[in-house]
Amino acid sequence: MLDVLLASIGHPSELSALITYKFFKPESNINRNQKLIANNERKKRCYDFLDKTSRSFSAVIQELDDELRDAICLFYLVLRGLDTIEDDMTLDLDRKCELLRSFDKIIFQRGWNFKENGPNEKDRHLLVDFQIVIEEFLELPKKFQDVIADITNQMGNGMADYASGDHRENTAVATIKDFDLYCHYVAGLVGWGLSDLFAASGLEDPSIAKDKRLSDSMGMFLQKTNIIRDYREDLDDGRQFWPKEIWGKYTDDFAGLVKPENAKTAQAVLSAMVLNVLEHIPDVLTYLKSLKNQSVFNFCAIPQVMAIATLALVFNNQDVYHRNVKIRKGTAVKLIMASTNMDNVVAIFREYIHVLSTKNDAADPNFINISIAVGKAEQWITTNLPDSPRTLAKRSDSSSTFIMLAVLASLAAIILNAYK
Amino acid sequence: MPEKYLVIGGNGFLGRHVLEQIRLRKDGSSIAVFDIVKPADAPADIKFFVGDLRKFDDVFAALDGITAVIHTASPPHVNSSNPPRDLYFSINVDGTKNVIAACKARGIKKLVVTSSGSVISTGEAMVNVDESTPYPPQAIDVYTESKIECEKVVLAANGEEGLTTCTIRPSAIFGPGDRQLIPGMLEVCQKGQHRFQIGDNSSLMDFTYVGNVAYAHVLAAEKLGDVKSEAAGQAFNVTNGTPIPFWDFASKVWFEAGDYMPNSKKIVLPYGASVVIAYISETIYNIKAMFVDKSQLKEGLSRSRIKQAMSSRYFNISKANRILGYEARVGLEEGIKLSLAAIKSN
Repeated sequence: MLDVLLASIGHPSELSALITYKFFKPESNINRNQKLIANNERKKRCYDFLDKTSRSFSAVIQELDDELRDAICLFYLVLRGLDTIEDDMTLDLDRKCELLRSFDKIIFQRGWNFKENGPNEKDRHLLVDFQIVIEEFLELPKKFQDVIADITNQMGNGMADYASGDHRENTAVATIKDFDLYCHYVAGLVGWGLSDLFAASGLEDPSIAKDKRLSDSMGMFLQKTNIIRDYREDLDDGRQFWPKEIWGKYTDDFAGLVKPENAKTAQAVLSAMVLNVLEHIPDVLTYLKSLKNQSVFNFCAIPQVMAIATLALVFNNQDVYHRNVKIRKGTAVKLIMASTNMDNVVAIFREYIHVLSTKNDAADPNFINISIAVGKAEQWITTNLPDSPRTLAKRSDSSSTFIMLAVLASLAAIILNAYK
Repeated sequence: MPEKYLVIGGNGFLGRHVLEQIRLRKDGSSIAVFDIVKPADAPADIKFFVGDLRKFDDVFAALDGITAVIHTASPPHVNSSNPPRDLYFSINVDGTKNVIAACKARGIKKLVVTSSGSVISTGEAMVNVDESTPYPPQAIDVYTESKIECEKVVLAANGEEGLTTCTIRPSAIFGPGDRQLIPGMLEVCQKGQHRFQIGDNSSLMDFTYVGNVAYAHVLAAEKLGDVKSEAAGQAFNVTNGTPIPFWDFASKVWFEAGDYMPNSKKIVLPYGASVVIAYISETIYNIKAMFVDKSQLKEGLSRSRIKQAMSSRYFNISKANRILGYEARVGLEEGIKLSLAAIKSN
């Protein structure tokens, strides 16, 4: 905790967010869920799986209202199971494709589990005990089962096409079209499924499931941002997801972007990648604006504001080529706590679009295009969400004084503790 | 369909690009030009009329056999505290009335007139404004006041005696032949002032490549001849449709001109500090003005100019998209490069 607080030391609003989050968290759906599942061993196992397989999604899923929580937890676990098969380079290709293409049937087979994953596959334990997930899945109302099976079918087949096709997913992505298609399979489809589940639960209007492009963009924006951030990690693992159509304009040697002498080229490639992501912003905001349920809104908005903050951080940042760049924990907590309404979300997007704009470099070949994309996003906001605030509203004076006192007291306590 | 065009002000910055856009259509149209002077390099394929816009006979003579008129003439807009009001009004308003009268007398059906995005400016920020925005009660300056009157006169004449009219409202025109925008930015650079940035660069500004504005004029003339088009009697915002942070445009110009200023070396002056500097500059100006003839003085940094640089100014151009079928043909980057190449070759 101390290092997290120290990292945010120059940012009082993050400090206060961290402290509030740690000590003054309101009674939440998570606690409610913990009580609900206390006497249900199987369900508890499922939420344990969720905790273990996803650090970032577990909390936001548990914060959902009762009508949706279990359905989305199981949707996540089923897709994680699918992903664990796709991810495993030790599996025989034919066997892998067979599993991927039939996974939407497998989830209806009581007792099915899978022990053939390589020993280093990080989520192999999930598949080893997958019968637990299947039992819980079969407890879901049919309307939810149908959605989950449908998306599993599409994603499994998409992944199999990629694994066996010309452009092997784990080797290279050629065109921007391939890139979009890949992101659609692994993330856009999740957006589709989530929208279908929201609509089926009755918490959201059925229209949310109709506009497929908007749901797709929700997933694409997250996935593409992660793909940029994970350049180095993926490269070290022998994968590359950045489409050649983008980087090939600047270099023949994708792995060579890490070399210091190629810094200029690397900067151009990075800005071209960021440019490609920026175009999804209008769709993301349109989607978020149409949501009605508070827990669904938080669930959808939190990953999106994290993504825009990450995008601003990775832009024109050579560190991306050397390590995994991450936003500060304090920033993350501040963003999570602010993502409760559309005004705040738009303000956060605007702030980070501006941050990105201030990092735009006139010597970069994509300078004007980034500039135009920044203008486009801002113009879109002023046209479609008029009266949106430009910056996050400041807390009222009395509460911020109180929180600052709490911050200082906690800091003092933690520091004293550390030097005891 | 081939037209017989008369381009009034065809020797000017915008006018020359209108000629080029007509030529690019390659539809067999003929071009004539009306201007106050004939340039030495006037192309042979163009019939040149030298005359005064304010004299009916001069204009009437040039309109013989003409089917479409594109009127781009306007006196240069000088930044001065003592603007030539009479000159602005006599050319922009009386001159335009003269053109309208002469068109009617010749039975001409199509008249496109250059207006300005500033006609709806109140001096405050302009965010995504469209053509439904009313004229402000007080124009931002005398020049713009005359342009508002000009536009009113032109649009009121639509439908009179078979004449159809419309106006084009560009904003921040730049391109080859430009004497203000890009040369002004290069001057800042030569003085070494491009290190200073006023404000946080969060305001957006529309810039318009001159060839695109010219293209919109020719499209408008074409639509005026089409009975199904709604163009007649309308004003159209025309920009590149890509507003960008104001200083980005300048940074790109400087970079392309060979004077790259990295972000790390920029000095950002907050709005408040800039206003103080401007106040001092204005005071110096006012003191000088006590001793020197005002028309000889060039205004430095003024508070109103800072406000302009600090406020967003961008337009909704969907009306021109929809009715004229207009879309920018030359983007900002290409436009900047063309402008600098033209400056270099001169």
